[in-house]
Amino acid sequence: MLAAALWSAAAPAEPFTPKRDDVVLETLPRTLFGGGPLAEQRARLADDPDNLALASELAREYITLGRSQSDPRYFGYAQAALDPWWDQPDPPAEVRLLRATLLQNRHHFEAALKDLDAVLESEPRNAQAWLTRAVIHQVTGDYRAAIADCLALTQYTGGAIADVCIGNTLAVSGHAGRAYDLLRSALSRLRHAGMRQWALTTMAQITMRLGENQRAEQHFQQALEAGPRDPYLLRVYADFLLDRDRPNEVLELLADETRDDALLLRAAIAARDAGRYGLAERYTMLLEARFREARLRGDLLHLRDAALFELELKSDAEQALELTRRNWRLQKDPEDARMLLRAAVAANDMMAAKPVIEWIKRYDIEDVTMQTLLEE
Amino acid sequence: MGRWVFLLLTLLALPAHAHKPSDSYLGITSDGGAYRAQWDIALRDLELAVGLDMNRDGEITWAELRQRQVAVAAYALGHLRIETAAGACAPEVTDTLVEHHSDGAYAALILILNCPGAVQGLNVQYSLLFDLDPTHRGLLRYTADGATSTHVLGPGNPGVSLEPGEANLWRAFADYLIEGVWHIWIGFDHILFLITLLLPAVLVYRSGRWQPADRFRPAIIDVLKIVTAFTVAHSVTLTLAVLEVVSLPARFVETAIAFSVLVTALNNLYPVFAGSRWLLAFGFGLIHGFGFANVLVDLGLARGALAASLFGFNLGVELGQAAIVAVFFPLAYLIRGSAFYRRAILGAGSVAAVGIAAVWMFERLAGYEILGL
Repeated sequence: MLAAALWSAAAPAEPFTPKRDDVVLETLPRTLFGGGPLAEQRARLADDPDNLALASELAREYITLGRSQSDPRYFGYAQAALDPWWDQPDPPAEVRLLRATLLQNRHHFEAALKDLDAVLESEPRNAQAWLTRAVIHQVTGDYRAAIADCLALTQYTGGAIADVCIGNTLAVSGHAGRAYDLLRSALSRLRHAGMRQWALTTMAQITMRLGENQRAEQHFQQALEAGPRDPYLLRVYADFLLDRDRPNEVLELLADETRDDALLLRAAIAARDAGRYGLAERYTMLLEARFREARLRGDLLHLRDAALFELELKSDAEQALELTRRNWRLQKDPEDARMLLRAAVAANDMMAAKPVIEWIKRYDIEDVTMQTLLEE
Repeated sequence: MGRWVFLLLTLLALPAHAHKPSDSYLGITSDGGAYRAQWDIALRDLELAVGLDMNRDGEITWAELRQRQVAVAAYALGHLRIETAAGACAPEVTDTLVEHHSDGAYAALILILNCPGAVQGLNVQYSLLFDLDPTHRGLLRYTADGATSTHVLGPGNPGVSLEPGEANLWRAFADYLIEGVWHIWIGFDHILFLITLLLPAVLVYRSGRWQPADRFRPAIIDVLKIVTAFTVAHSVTLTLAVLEVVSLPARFVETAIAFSVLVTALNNLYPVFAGSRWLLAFGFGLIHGFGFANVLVDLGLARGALAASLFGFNLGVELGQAAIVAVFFPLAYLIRGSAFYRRAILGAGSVAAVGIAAVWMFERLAGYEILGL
């Protein structure tokens, strides 16, 4: 019912015939279609689809690509590569782990946990499984289980990685100070760029929430330098810059990232804040189309950003509040909490913020922005 | 250490990905007796499936798409099966255009379906791209006889049966009927208003006191007058509000609904409108209608089935009401003679209703929650 209403509202422009032969309609992502090693792997797997090693390797490549490009089509390709095993109740552990990763990505947390539990039963030394399970527990709010999983890691990997795992969980469950110290000590023991970037990103978020803006800025810069351009880091840094009233820096930061919806949203807000209304208008229209089409599909994963969109760019606090409430039913981390509080304050409806207020009290979350919002 | 990279990236993947996965848009319309369709398929997906970028320069031009349109059509039609009761259809692509969606350019295939026999209903089986990308979905929109229905087709549910307009209207009607019944059941303020208003129906106000009614008929007529007045009033404003002829801010409406309960309850204790409570029912019914309208707007209405949905919802509300009254009235009539009814239920009950209504008004005006009702 609702979808039909959305579709007619979407009413895309009429299809058209391009005027000239050389008009470029679409630019393809280089890696997938450029005829490089990935294409070769695909071809080899196509000839030998039941080859577990080939399939797992390709699936891993796709997942990495999907993450770095913020493009979920790749996760679909990964699933397709694993097709001979996908529906099996008891596939090889390698496939199970990849399947858990893909499921977790779609927020099918229970199914992912089932797979991970099975992997760990047959392969208790599988560090990746411990780590993935820890993160799922963290995201679903089961902090004790998350820390238990992180601690198990110490037996199988270097302590630094376990520390980062623990630090990450502590950071979102009300032990910001301890988390920071743990991460800082782990940082000195970490060699790998990706891991360092992760630790630094979390440290930046902690200091941001505690209101230590200068240190946060430092850590963000360090994180950006530590590794490749990471969409998650860019998003969090953009939020930080927007809060500090530095929209022009956001536009600079995100200049080439408008393919990613979450980053486009931040760019749109920055454009508006910087007074570049034409640009803001253009970005807003693009975003509207993207959110609408995602909803047609029944996609619920954009809720928090959709709320931010409604609040900042459409000035519709009521709608934003409704969206954050739906989001809160599905996930609860500090960013979700903050968004709900913002929306509740803007819509003048503190009644709606009650569950978040209780959550903050229960986990003793320290967050400068939230405190300010609560005082309003 | 390469594996750790994978690990790390997995972990940070938890915040939701920032695009949507692959979709195609298939719109089927019934035009007189024949079916036409437009099928938008992403160029990226077509590149994966049949290959479009012949010169391998990473860009797809209009010329390249045109050169491959036969292959594209063959691939698409090879993954779509449509049949009617009279047999299989033989769809063909009559033209290939371009359409832009929020995530890139799509090939817009214009189709005629060529279905045998008199057109009654279609069965569609969709399998595009599933072997290459199981997260791909076909978003099907079916329009016939002024009604539109949408369906999401995936590997788990690749087929759908589409009935012409009438059946879609019936489905809209039925869906909204259920929503209507449900919303009156969970609409505690509406129910409280109605019950409070009906409490004195089995009594008459004589010599400054409420006394049990002597005969059945006046009691039942009173109930009918009130319920009818309430129904007519809220149906009118519900329709006006949904059609956006009249619009009132939600906060005002909610507060006014609470006010209606307050006034009605007070009227039970200090009867100003003793025998003509249907006026209260009508007057406040107008406000309650706006309350229902807010609900309907939240549910979302399909333009194509507006009348059916609206009528269904309204009827659902009536049925829900009727059920409540049917339970309440016989019980009330039976015990109308007892002091318990007059003092405890009517008296204390109305006082309680006044209290609740006052709290609601405060909550709704100030935006705080106290009772959580």
